[in-house]
Amino acid sequence: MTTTTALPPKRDSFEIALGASVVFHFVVFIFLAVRAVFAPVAELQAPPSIRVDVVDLPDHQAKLPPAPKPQPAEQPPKPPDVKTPPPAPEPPKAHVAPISDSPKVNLNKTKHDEAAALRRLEAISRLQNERPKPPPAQAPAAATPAPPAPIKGNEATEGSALKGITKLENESYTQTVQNHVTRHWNLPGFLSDANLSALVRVFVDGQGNLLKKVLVRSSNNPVFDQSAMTAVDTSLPLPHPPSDLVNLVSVRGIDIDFTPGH
Amino acid sequence: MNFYLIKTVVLLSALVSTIAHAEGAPPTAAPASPAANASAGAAPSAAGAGGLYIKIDNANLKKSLMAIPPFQYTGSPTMAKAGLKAGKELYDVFRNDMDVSSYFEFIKPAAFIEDVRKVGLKPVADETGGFNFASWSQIGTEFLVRVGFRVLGDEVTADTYTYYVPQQKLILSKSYKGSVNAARTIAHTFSNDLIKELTGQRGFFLSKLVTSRSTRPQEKEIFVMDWDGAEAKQVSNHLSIAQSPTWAIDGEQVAYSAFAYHPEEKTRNVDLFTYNIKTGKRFLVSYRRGINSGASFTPDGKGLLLTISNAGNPDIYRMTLDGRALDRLTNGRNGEMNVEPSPSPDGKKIAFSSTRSGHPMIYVMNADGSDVKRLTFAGEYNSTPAWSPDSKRIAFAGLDKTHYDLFVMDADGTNMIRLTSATKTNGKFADNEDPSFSPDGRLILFRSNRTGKYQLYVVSIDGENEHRVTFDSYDYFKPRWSPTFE
Repeated sequence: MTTTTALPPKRDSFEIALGASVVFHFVVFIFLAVRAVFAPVAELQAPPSIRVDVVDLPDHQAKLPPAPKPQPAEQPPKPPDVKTPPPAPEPPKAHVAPISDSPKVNLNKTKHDEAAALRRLEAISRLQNERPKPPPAQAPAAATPAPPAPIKGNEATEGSALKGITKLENESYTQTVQNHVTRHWNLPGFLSDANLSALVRVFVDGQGNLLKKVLVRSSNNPVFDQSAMTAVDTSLPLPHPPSDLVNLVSVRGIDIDFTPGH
Repeated sequence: MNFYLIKTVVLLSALVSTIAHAEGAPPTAAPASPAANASAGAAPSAAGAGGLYIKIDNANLKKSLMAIPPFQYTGSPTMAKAGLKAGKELYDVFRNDMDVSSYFEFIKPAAFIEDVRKVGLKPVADETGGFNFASWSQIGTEFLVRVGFRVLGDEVTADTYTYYVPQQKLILSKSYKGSVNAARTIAHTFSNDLIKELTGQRGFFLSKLVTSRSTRPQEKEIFVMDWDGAEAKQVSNHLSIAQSPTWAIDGEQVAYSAFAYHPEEKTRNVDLFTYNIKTGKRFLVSYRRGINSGASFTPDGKGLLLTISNAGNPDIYRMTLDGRALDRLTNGRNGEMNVEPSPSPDGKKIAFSSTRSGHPMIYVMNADGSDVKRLTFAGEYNSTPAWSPDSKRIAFAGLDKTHYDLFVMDADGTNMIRLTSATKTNGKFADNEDPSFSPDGRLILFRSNRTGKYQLYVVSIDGENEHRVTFDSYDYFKPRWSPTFE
């Protein structure tokens, strides 16, 4: 008897709980459904990884000697395009498709598409780079490479990371010059812990002979600055730059940062 | 498969772009922002950008060439004789300071092109009859120090001009005035100013030493002197053996132990005294039976660490400056010695020597005596640990078969190097003992018997540039360099 009397309330409460649960879940479901319909969450689906990869490519302009053109004139007009670029991120996807369809036949077309896409991307990235800081971007560009003007178009290199063989050459040359100059840098002992730093920009020709040197950033200590300038002088001629880099080191120069580590 | 294809595409695109460049494709040749440059993997910090970026972070340290022509007497001829003496003192003291700094090499006067007696103290551009920079740069001079001085009554005035010759630049011009008897102080002050100007760091040339020194047979007393051994002043007179002096953190007082006579008991005991250099007051701090010795002031200035043996074994205690309250830090077993406590300047650790392993070795413990660690394992007898001012290095003396040499290691016992190696006139190895760091941490003071007598020397912490400090016939024991710069 006791059990029968005891059971019903128990079952009741269970059923109530079950019911409540069902109702609750239903409400939640409805709520989410309604929200999904009326207030869809805008999700970003841009594939940024692809974009980064491609933006990286402009590199080789480093080697571009021929095109000395009045670029600055072209850029101001372009900003309107800024709104169109958004489609640009997609081109990379496009490569995958055509090639997987018919690798051989479409090769040329792919190349062209690719080149076009790249150009567009470059234009975009250029614009993006320039928009925030147009004046600084152009001022130094005009100022630094002043001496041998002919190769002005080369400045495009500035914006890109070097790649492939040029990159290897660059790194190996950098290393060589670093070792070379390190051997010639004698710092007075009393400045070893002084936490000073100076930057000397050196312009050299294809034989490593000095064209010009500039103390770009002084340590504000005459003795330290002198040691850096003397290190450059006694390092001359610098190791011959690889032919690919001659323009770079003669026009833009080599920034040598003298900063004793600990 | 997909992945492979994508790779192909990337390769192709690289190829395409190369071709495009070769053809001079117009849109790609536009100047991009220099700020994006990362040619060699590291961006130039501030100054815009060159083509390549190279960082040189490793310099060969060199000594600079300094020329110090004789100081010129510019006073009245009547005082010339008194002036001569003061001038020689100024010159010798300054020159020795510069030498010990180990930053300079000196150009021999024979190499001077100009007759320095006939040209002025300033360059010809500033004064008619002045010197020519060209005649100094020609012999490689980097720093040219010109000093003129005059004596009036018992007062000496020195005008100093220090030039950086490669840039023909006056880097320090200062005049000093003081009593003729203070010529040494003037020279040391000039040295400090010049070092400060060049390095940005304080010079130690006005710092002091305290040491135990032989006086008569079987007797040693405590002496305080300039860092270069001059102006020695006896500060104890127990007519017995006074030893193991040490500096208070503020440099105003010293503590030492003396084998002192106790008239009531008619015995002698190794007691601990403090002596205030400014007031001349002496205080008997600890006279517990046995030894009260090997003291060091704690970096907080509130107490002393020392060895006391009245409980049986020599053990290390912390004691208040009045000698009353004791705090035992080590608890050696029978026959074991725990001595020579040396607190790190940051107050966190205490280095000491102990025979707990059988041989005397260097140990370190926390300031409260906990967490004892053995630091040295090499050799048979390592003692007298001394901390560098930055608390990062410990110097000590180690017995190498027949003789003691100085060693320095990191505070954890690694990177140990030997600092000294010297022979006596008979060809045998000399002892080098009792290290103590200079206030700037660049030099170590020690004693050595290479001349037959235990004289004081200094050596750079890399073991280079040894200099003899004392030139007399006494024996010195346990010298300590003041922790303060003045």
